[in-house]
This record gives sequence, C-alpha cells and structure tokens, in this order.
Amino acid sequence: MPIDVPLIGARSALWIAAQLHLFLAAFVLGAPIFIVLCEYLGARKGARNWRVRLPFAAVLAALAILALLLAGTLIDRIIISLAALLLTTLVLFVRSAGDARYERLAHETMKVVTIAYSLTAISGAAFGFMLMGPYSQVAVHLFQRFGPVFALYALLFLVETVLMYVYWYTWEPLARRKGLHITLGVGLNIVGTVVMLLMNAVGAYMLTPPEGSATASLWALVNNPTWSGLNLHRFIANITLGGFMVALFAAFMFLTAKRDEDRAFYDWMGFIGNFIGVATLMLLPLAGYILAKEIFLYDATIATFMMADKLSSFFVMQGLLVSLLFLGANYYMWMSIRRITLTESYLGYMRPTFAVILVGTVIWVTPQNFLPDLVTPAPAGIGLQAITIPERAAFLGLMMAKALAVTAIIMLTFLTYMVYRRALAQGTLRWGEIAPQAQYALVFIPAVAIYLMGLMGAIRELARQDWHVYTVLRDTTPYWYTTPLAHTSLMVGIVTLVFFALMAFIFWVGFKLGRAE
Amino acid sequence: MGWTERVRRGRAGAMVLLAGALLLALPACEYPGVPHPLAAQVEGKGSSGPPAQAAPAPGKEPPASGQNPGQSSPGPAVLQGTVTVALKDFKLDPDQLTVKQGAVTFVLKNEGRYTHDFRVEGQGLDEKAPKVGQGRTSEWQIDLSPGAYKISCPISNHADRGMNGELTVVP
Repeated sequence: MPIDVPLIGARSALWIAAQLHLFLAAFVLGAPIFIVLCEYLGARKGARNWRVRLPFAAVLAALAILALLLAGTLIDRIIISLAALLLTTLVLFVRSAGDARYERLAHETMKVVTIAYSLTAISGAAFGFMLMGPYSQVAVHLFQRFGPVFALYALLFLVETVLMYVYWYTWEPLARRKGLHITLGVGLNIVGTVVMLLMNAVGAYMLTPPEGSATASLWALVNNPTWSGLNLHRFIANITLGGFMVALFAAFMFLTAKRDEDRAFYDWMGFIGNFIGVATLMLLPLAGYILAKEIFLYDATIATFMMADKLSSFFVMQGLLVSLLFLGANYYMWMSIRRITLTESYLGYMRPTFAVILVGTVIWVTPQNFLPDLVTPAPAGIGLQAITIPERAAFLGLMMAKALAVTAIIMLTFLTYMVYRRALAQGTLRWGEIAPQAQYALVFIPAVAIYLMGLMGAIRELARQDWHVYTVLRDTTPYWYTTPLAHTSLMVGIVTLVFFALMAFIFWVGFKLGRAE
Repeated sequence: MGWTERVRRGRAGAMVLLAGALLLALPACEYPGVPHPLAAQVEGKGSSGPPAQAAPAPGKEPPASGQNPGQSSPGPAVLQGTVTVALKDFKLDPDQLTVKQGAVTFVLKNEGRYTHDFRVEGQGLDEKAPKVGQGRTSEWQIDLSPGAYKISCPISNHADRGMNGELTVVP
C-alpha cells in the first residue's frame, strides 16, 4: 500500500467516509420521494387532471417496456414489472388530501434535506480522496471500466444539485403554482434515482463482475448479476430510512416543543414518518431475498461464505436488529393506540403480540452452532456437541424456521396496524397527547435501522473476501482480511454515532439556532 | 430539580456517553494491518484463482479421501445392502456410488458443522432422508430400481456448493 492513514489505518478511514456518505446519500435520495408525495397530498383538493396523468403514465409504461426489453433475467423482469405497476398506479390514482399538515411536513423535511445535502457532498469528497490515495489501484481500475458512467454521474450530480436548490428556494414563490413545483420535485427524484442506479452498478460490479469482465461491454458491466437486486433493495431501503429520519426529526421537535399545537403537529409527523418507514420495512426482507438469490446464483462460494462461514454470525446479528426494529415499531404503535379514546378493549391484544414477536426473534437468532467459521476448531477440551444446538432443536437453525418466524413478526406488525385502524374508527384521536417515551422509540428505531444498514453494507463488502473486485482485482493491502463481527460492529457503531451527531447538528442548526426562546 | 436543569444534565450525560462511545474506537484501530500472503507478487487486472479464504469452487473439489467400505479405486465397486455416505461441509463422500437394485440402507454420517440432508432423484423418484444434525449418524432405507440417480443435500444451496453426486443402480 503506497499511502496509509496513521493511527486508524486506511481501511477504517475509508470505511467511515464511505458509510457516512451512503447514510447521508440514502437520506437525501429517499426523503424527497415522499416529500413530493406529501407536498401533493397537502395541496388543494381538485379533480383528477387526466391530461397530465395519462401522458405521464404512458411515458412510465413506455420506459418500463424498454427496461423489460433490456432486462436479462426473470428476476429483473419481475422487479421492473412490480416497480412500473406501483409507479403507474401512484401516478394514475393518488389523490390530494388537502391536508395542510402534509405541506408543512414536506417543507420542514426538505429543509433538513438541503442541509444534509452539503454534508453528503463533503463525505463523498472524503470518500473520493480515500479512494484516490490509499486505494488508488481500485480507483484506477473502476475509472478504466466505468469511465462514461462516472462522467454521467458527475453531470447528473450537478443537475440534481441545481434541481434540489431550485425546488427548495421556489417553495414559497411557486406556492400558487403547485403543479409546476411538484413537477420540479418529480424531476429531482428521477435524476436522484438515476444517480443512485449509476453508483449501484459500480458497487454491484465489485461483488459480481460479469464473466470475461476485462473485455465486457459497458452495458454488461453495468447490468451485472446483482445490479437489479441491489437497485430494488436500496430504493426501498432509502424510503425506509427517509421515513425513519422524519420520525427522528419529529421526535426531536416534539420533545423540545413548547406549544401544544407544535406537539400535536410533531406527534402526527412522527406517526407518518414511522408509518412510511415501517410500511416499506416490511418489503425489505423480500428485496433482501431477491438480492441474496442473485448472489447465490452468481457464485455459491460467496453464498456459503456469507451464510455458513465467516459472515454467518453477522446474520444472527441482523436477525436480532431487525427484530428490535419490529419490536420498536410495535411498541410505538401500541403507544399510539393508547392516545385514542375508548381503546381499553384492544389493549388485551398487546401482550400476545409482543410474545409472538419475542418467540419469532428467538427463532431468528438461533444459530446452528457457535463456531466463528468453517475451519476454526472447537476450543481445547470442548467437544463439538457442546457448541452446536441439540438435535431436537436443530430445525430452528434452518432457513425454513427463520422464514416462518420473520413472516409471523411481519404479520403481527400488520395486525397491530389493523388494531390501530379499528380503534380509530371507534374512538377519538388526541394528537400531541402521546406519552413521551413513544418519542424515544422514534429515536431508537432509526438508531437500530442505521446500525443495521451499516452492518448489512459491511456484509456485502466483506463478501468479496480478499478481493477489491471479486476474482478480478485482489486486495493485497495490509487490510485484506475479513474483519470479525466484534470489529465490524464497533466500526458500524462509530459510524452510526457520527451520523446521529451530524443529524442532531442539522436539526439544531436548521430549527433551533437563532430562534427566540 | 426543574425541567431545564434535567435537560441540561441529560445533555451533559449524553455528551459523556458519546465521548465514551467514541473512545471505543480505539480497539477498532487496525493500523498497520497484516501483510497479505500474495502482497509480494505482481498483481493486476484479470488475475484469477480461488479466493484465499474460500473453499474451492464447485466442481473443483479434491477427490474424496475416504472410501466406502468395499470400494476401491480406480472404479467404484458395486455395493449392496448398506452404504455409508459422509455428509461434509460441503461435499458428499463418496460422491460416485454404484449399488445393486433393491432395498438400500444409507448410513448418513454428518461430519460437518451444519445440518445436512440426503436426497435421491431420478427414475421418477424424489426422496429425502430425515435431516442429520452436526456430528450425528442416521440410517435411511430406500428401494431403488436400476438406472441413474442424482444424489445431493437439499438444504439451502448446499448442492450448488458441492454436495452432489451420482448414484448408479445396477440389476
């Protein structure tokens, strides 16, 4: 390695810069998707304008057909079809609610996004410098293979920056021309999504380069075996993160609010943010399975390395974190139910719900054995039987049991929401009267979500083993080895803390600094 | 203690917690790393070969070291009655079997660290043995008619990873 970073090492420095950049980028790309939707929902109610909707839906359908023609695999076609169906339905049938709170939610969240955008660019620059210095070999390789992609990325990043600031600074001037302003927001999202797709291609290539990559066409490099799976997973996860960040912001504002009407608004905002986060979170296991399936099909060696070797304990940790997310989400929903009048009869369902989620969690985190990998022997004096689960419970370590456990957890979360709807139909909702501890749940959930994102990102990167680009460019730096779970957890914990510190800074500078008491 | 004072103390506590958590960063330092075994060699684009930490790719497994009782190289012997198969992470040993038609009892020894299973497919047949836990041995009987069969571990992607083979049944 020609250049190293003193004290913490080049990999740790790159790790922190890259993950911070990804967290911030996920937020600034994910949040505008529903900001635009909320702005529309907050706009004045009116009849459906089919002269706009139909051509827009037709363009979407044409793009989907083009993408279907380019798609190489059945999984890709399914992903494209589902995405096209969802977007076309939104364009055709979503109606404005005429609720001014959505407008305020969109406006305040957009203010957070614009501040976060600068930090995204700074962390991106830090990431770029690290690549150009200690990891220049990787940077050169990627620039050689993806030169036009990086050029397009730079151009679109510029366009996105322009659109973002125009969208933000025209919020008030275009208050009477909502259609135009929302169109700007849609444009911002389209460009942002394309930027994400471009960088996903590079990231996915590093794990699953196509066969004969040295001579492969640019399109083959971009459309590599896990590109579509990664696109789907990140697109949904970005919205999830955006939702949770809105909830975090709302919790921060709720806890520091001094007026009842502000508390009522931020209580509502936290609920909406959490709802978006949890609703999309429930789709993520499916998207994760699709991505994992693509990796399995690409190279079974990687799959084994992930699921049965050095990274298997990471997935136990993943199970624990996802379960904590669902526990937090359910806890918040039950606290939400309690602020509705006449809900006593429903509270009896609460304990069984948590009981099922806890049992599901225990099944999910049950490993087949307690060995760190496939080759490390059992410690001296300890037999293999002592560190493997008993025969009669062996089925709990298999995917079938875990898939059922996850399904049960998701179903129960869905049922909790149904109970909420039912309670709402009978009682009266008192916004702002939620117990303060519910707001701490809205801090806990994003913290776990960010940590989980970091851990899963680390898994995807570590799955390359000692390769920068799997089987193409070997990592012979002093940091070539796979970090164990303890080290990885610590790194992800540090990045999560720094990210939260940055978000707290954004909230403070954007909404508290300079305001009169 | 008033609310303001409590908030102030809470903030101070949060800062202490944050500082303490960042101190945890110290053990995460990995500077200056560990030399790679291939660091001295010339590396570059298009280099190939199996990953250093990964097992060999499917289809490139070394020949099975253990032989079934009564089985000798170079060609597999025709077995009858009881056949022992070791289920390893991630291969079947042996992975080429020839047995006489009729009732065959498979003695399945799980020598790996993960739960495995044994599946026989072919000639209109698709049967699976009960799962075998780590370090366990179980017996499984099946009636086989002459023909070629595929044997594998049906759990997860174990078959793709290398736990597959061929079973030939002769009259």
